[in-house]
Amino acid sequence: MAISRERLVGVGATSPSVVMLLLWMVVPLGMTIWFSLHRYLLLQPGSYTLVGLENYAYFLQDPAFLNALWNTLVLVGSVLIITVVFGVAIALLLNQPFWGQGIARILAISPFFIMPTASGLIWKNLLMDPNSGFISWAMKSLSLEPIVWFSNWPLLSIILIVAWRWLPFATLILLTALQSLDEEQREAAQMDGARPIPYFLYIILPHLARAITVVVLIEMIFLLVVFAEIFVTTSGGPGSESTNLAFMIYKQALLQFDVGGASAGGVIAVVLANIIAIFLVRLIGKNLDEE
Amino acid sequence: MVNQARWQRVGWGVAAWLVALLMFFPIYWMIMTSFKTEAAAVSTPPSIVPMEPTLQNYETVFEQSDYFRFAWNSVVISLGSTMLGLLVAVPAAWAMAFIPSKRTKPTLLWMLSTKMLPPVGVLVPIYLLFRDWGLLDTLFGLTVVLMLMNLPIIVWMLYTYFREIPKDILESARMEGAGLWQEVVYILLPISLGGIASTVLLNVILAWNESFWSLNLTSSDAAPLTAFIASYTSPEGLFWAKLSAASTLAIAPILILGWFSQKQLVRGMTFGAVK
Amino acid sequence: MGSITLNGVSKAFGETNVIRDVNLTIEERDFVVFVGPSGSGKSTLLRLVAGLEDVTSGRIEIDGRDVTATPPARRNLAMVFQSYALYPHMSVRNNMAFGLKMAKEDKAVIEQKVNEAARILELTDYLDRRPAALSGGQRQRVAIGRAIVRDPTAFLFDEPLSNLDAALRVQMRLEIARLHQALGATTVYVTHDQIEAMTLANRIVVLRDGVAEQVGSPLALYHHPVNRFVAGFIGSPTMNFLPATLGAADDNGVSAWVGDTEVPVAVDASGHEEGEAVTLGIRPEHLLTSGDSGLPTLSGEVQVFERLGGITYIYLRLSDGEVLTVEAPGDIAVKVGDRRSVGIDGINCHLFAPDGQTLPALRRHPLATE
Repeated sequence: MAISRERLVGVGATSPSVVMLLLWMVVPLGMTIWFSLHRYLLLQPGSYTLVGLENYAYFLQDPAFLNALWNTLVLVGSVLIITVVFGVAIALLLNQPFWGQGIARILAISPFFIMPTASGLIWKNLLMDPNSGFISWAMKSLSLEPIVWFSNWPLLSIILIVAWRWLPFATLILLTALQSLDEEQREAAQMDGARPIPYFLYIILPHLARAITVVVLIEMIFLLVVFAEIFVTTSGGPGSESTNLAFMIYKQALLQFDVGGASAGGVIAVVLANIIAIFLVRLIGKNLDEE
Repeated sequence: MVNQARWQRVGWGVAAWLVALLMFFPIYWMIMTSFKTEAAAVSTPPSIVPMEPTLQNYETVFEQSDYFRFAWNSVVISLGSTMLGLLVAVPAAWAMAFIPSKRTKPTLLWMLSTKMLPPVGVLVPIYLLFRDWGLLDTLFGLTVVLMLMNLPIIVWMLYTYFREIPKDILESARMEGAGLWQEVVYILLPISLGGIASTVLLNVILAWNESFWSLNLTSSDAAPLTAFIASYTSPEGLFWAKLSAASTLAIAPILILGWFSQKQLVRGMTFGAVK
Repeated sequence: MGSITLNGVSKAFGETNVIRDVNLTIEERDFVVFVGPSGSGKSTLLRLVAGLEDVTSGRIEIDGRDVTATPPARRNLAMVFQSYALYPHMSVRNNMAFGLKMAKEDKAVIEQKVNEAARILELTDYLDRRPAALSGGQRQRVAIGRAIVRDPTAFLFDEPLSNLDAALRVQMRLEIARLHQALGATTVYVTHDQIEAMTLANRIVVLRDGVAEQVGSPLALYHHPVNRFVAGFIGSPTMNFLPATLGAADDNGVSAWVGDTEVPVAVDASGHEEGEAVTLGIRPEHLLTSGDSGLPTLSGEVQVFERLGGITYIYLRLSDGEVLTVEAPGDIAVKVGDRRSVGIDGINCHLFAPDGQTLPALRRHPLATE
């Protein structure tokens, strides 16, 4: 029938993308789940036996896992707080008219474009090194005791590096949202004699609510799987003080060759991410309807 | 009164500049260090600008490491994955924008949700499959993976750009005797050239900086700049000036592209939820 | 060349029937206008002809050839869209040449045809501009030019003037009429503006809810609407509708009682009974304000009046609360609150049965050809 002709073209045009993504998602994910039910050690050929939920039980009872989970949550939570709070402040600062606004904006946004391996190493050595790092020098100049960042505060160090990269992201998005706060609303508030703080609390913050939600959700997706920054700085150490879930799974799989265990961890990470994804997808979907 | 308001404005402007400089400082410091001698790089007190600027570090990076091979790999992977993605995504975005059906929205959201799948969740099977298929440490393998990673974003961005094109224009071409292919090539693509360029830009940036798959799936032959920089972890990490020079080289092109793509970045990364 | 036949054409979007069983023959050189309120399906019907939508059932023929399943590209029709749909990335010249290029026409021929069309439409000076650098009227002309260079079987216009301001609209309307006379090509034109329909068409199709209510010449629709909907839709200001009761019938028609006023109307009331409730329709321009004409009169209080200069519209509230629109001379003396009587001539009246159908007139208006 004639009707199906256009539909057919539509389906034909969409299917390569759909099929590829389906394969990309379903096949490896299915394999991950399958492996997670097995005892599967890469270095011991023939060690491939069905063990049911044993890997999960092992994983969930392993203090290292709980530790990694905790580190993940601390990392995600801290970076979120830093980026949202400072992101709002910096966006407000950069949104006011001042000399060289465009250039200042570009400078402030730049860290987002730095590859994680480079930012990790630059921070670790040039800035945070306890002997010759810039921060140590600055602290010594102020007669303070330099911090031995990666030995004493490994997770905090990672948090700072990651936050430095994501703060510009939050700033950029909040800045974009601020610019859509329409002039008339601003003028009306001024006419009503709104003082800066109530103006911020009752006009700006509600206007930014949606953008903040988006920042939080999207950052969560990326922050849950922070990897490269840890890989080039602490390697999860000392001990496992800075090991997050992603790094733990990596160690389990590619350093200890425990495929089953790593897969169980992977499934747990997917479940965690999906909880966030549900909220984000719903938000985007609502937005799609509004247009 | 007027004066006070003015000084207040100047004060806030200065504050904004201070924050901007603070954010940029690590990058500035990296660039400066790349022009210092190794001795000057670790000396205290550090000098804000190199006292005896040298290009020695850059020369060493070029000589000692296969810098150009890594850079070439980065170019191939980021451009390749973007172009490949574009090829698959254009028809999909076209169909979704111009032949919408009840399934369009769920499909689009499902595509986005695949983007939210954490890579560690599929690291093990992908690694094993790649090992069995001989795709580990190949440009092709990494390109395909990054294409799949970014495909949802490409489809999404193209979709939002295509949707801004009035349907009438395509129908008009159809009435004038243009076939499907001609409609796309002569009308759709030229009109959305700006949008396509933005899409390419953002995806090149994301692919260039991607460091989970590139660290885990490559070792030497196909390693891009992210992996090359990671190789400075030790013991070359001790050579700060060379690390800085290598990093500056790896970052510079994408930093400049990034400056031009601020708006598209917001659009692409938030899936249109913030405009 | 240029006849179009619709045979039992229907279109449904999901559960909604947008076009229901439309049968229509458009003759060569016809200027047919589809008119109707928004949602009546007029644009959908045009898009079915164009091939931009597929019919759910029925047949479409162009020049006797079944094109029901033919894609738009191969129907050889040209369409002017409401938004003009110019290609923003091409110059005016390339916009006009696009269809010819698609048809793999010779370069020299394209050049010559485009220049000729540009000359007719006075676009010669703008050939190298982009659409964005043109005014609304100029864009409109480019859209028309793009259609004429291709020498199509028929022109399709989808509300082409609705994005123009009032003055330009009148001018373009004349230009389209002139073009049709000069080219003589079959034209199908969609509008919601009944003035455009009246002035341009030689045949009008009035659509409501996907049904072709009436097909006929502009004056046939004006003088002999088949039902109350068509009567109300054609003519501006809209026809007055008054509740009435049927009186005695004879060879000259039937009398209708509007309140205490008896109006003899020349229609065939067979099948209807004395005392039946009907609706009497009379156009504002047919009510007489000049003194004593010996005609039956309706009287009421002036509620509002609008002076347009040449004419004045008086809104008269009758004793039963109905408001009557009356067209009066421009210089008539009138005040709000005045009591006035207007003469009502049965020869200009229509009677509508409760189901909306018109009681058939005994004599056809001499200008109301089919």
